[in-house]
Amino acid sequence: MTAAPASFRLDLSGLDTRPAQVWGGVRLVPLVRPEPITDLRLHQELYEDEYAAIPATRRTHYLSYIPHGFVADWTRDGTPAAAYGTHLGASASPDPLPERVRVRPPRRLAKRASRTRLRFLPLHLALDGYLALHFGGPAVVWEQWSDRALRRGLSPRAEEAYAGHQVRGLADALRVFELHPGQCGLVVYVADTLAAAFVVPHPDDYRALHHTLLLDLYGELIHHYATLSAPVPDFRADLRTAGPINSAADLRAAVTRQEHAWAAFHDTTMAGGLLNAAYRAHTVRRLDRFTLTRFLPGFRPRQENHIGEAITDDHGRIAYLKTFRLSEPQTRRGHLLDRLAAHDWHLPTTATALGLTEPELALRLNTAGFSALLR
Amino acid sequence: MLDDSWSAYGSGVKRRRPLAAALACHFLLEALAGEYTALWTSGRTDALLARPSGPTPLGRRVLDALDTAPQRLLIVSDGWDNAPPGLAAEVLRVWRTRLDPERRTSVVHLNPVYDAEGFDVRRLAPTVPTAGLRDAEDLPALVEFARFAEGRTDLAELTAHLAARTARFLAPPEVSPR
Repeated sequence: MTAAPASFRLDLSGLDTRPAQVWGGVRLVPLVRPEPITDLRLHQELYEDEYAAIPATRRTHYLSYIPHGFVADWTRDGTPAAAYGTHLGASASPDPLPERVRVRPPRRLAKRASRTRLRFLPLHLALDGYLALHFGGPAVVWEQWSDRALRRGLSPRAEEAYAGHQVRGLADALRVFELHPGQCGLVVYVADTLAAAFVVPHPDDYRALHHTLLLDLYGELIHHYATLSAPVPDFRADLRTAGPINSAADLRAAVTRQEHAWAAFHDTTMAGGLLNAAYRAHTVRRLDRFTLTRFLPGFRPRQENHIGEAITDDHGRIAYLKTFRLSEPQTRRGHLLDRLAAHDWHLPTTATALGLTEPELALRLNTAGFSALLR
Repeated sequence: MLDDSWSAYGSGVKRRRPLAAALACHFLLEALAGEYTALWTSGRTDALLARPSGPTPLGRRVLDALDTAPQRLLIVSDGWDNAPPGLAAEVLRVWRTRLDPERRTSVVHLNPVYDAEGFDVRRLAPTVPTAGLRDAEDLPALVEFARFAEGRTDLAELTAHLAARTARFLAPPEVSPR
C-alpha cells in the first residue's frame, strides 16, 4: 500500500450491458467489450493448454495479472500457494512470482492440486484474509491465523462462506449460460441481489475464467437467498409501449430502444448499489498505463457493501474487476478493522472513539474472530 | 433461421442433436426450396463450420429474416430466446398485426428440443405455430401441417389434405426406366 486512500468510483465505460440470462433464482448479466484490451492479459501460467495461444510466444509486449486467491505452483517446489491479492506484473520480468501465502489444501482437494492449478483459497479463509489484506496491518500474522483457521475454523464460527457450487442454481446457471461474443465480464445476481461483479480485459481470459465463478466464495447472505428464493422473472422485451410502428425501420428502432432501456435500467438501478457507491481506494501498484487498486466500501450497516480489487487504465476505466459482496457480520468485522486501522491499531483510543470501554472492544474483537490478529 | 447458439449443444446424452437437426434442415431446404436464405443466430455464413456457441438473439435475427421479404419463414430453434428474452415473440406479433396483416409471409417454428417441464416443445410466440421436429426428414410434412395449427382453416381442408397425403403414400411407385 503506497498511497493514501483516495475516493474511487467504479467506471464501467467501455463495457456494454447485454440482456440478462435467468436460471431459477440466478440472474447473470453479461458485460461485453466492443474493443478488448490486448496489452493486459491473464498470467500465462494460469492458462490451461487449450487457451495457451496468447501472444507471449510471439514476444509481444504485454502486462500480466493474476487474480486474488489463484492457487498454483508459485513456489516452484510443487506445493500449492495462493496469490495473496491481485498481482500486476510485466510478462517479461525475471521474477514473476506474486506475493503469496502457502496453503495446505484439504486432502480431498489434493488430487486436483496436482494439476498445479486449483482455484481459490479454501472456503472461509479467502474473504477474511481479504479483509485483512485490505487493511494491510495484520498481514504479518495472517499466515499463522490462516493456518489456525484452516485446522479449527474461525473461532467462534460467527458465519460461513460458501463456495459457488453450494449456492443453489449457480452451477446450472453458469453451465447453461450462453457466452456473448466479446464478453469480458459478468454480474451475478442471486434473487436479484448483486452477489459479485467480475470483469477481465480480454474475452479469451473470460472464457478461461468463466467456470471459476463457481469456485468463488459467496457470503451466507447469498447462500440463503439462493436457497429460499423463488425463480426470478425474465425482463421480457415489450414493444406495446413503443409507439406507432408502420415500417420495418420503425420496428428495428423500437428493438434498439428496448436494448438501450435494459442496459440503462441495469446500470443505474440493478447495479446501482455497486456503481454509485463511493469507495476508498489504495493504489497498490502502477505499471505502464495500468493501476492496481484495492477498494473498500463505507461499511454502512444493513446496506450493500462490496469489497474488491480493480485494475484501471489511464482513463480510469476498468480493465479488471473482482468484487465480493460482504455479508452483515463481515461488514461489522470490516467496520471494526476500519476503526482500528484509523487509530493505528491502538485499542484504548479506538475504544474511546467507538464509545466503548477497552474490555468491551476486546470482547467485540473476540466475537468477530480477530483476537489472534491483535496480540 | 437456424439456431446455433450454445443451447444447441442439447444434452449430454444426445450431444449437439439440436444443432444437427438445424444443419440437416439447412441442407434439406437448400435442395427443396427454389430460393433459400440461411440465417444462423451467430451470424455465421458457412453451415459446415457450425458449432454451438453464443447467445440466442432470435428477435434481431427474425428482423433480419423478415427484411428479405420471404414467402415463408422457417425458424429452427429450441425457443430459448434470451438476448433479450421474448423479443422474437414481440417482433413476430408486431409484424403480424401492424406490418403484414394480410399474411404475405407465413411463419413456422420447428423445435427440435422437447421441453420436459411443459410436456411439449417450447413455443416462441402464441401467434406462430410450433411443431416438434424429431428428424429433419419430417420437415416438409410438418411445414404443411403447421398451417392447420394457425386456426385459419377448417376440418374439411384438413381431411382433404390427409386424404391427399394418404393417396400419395399408397400410390404405386413410379417405375424408373433402367
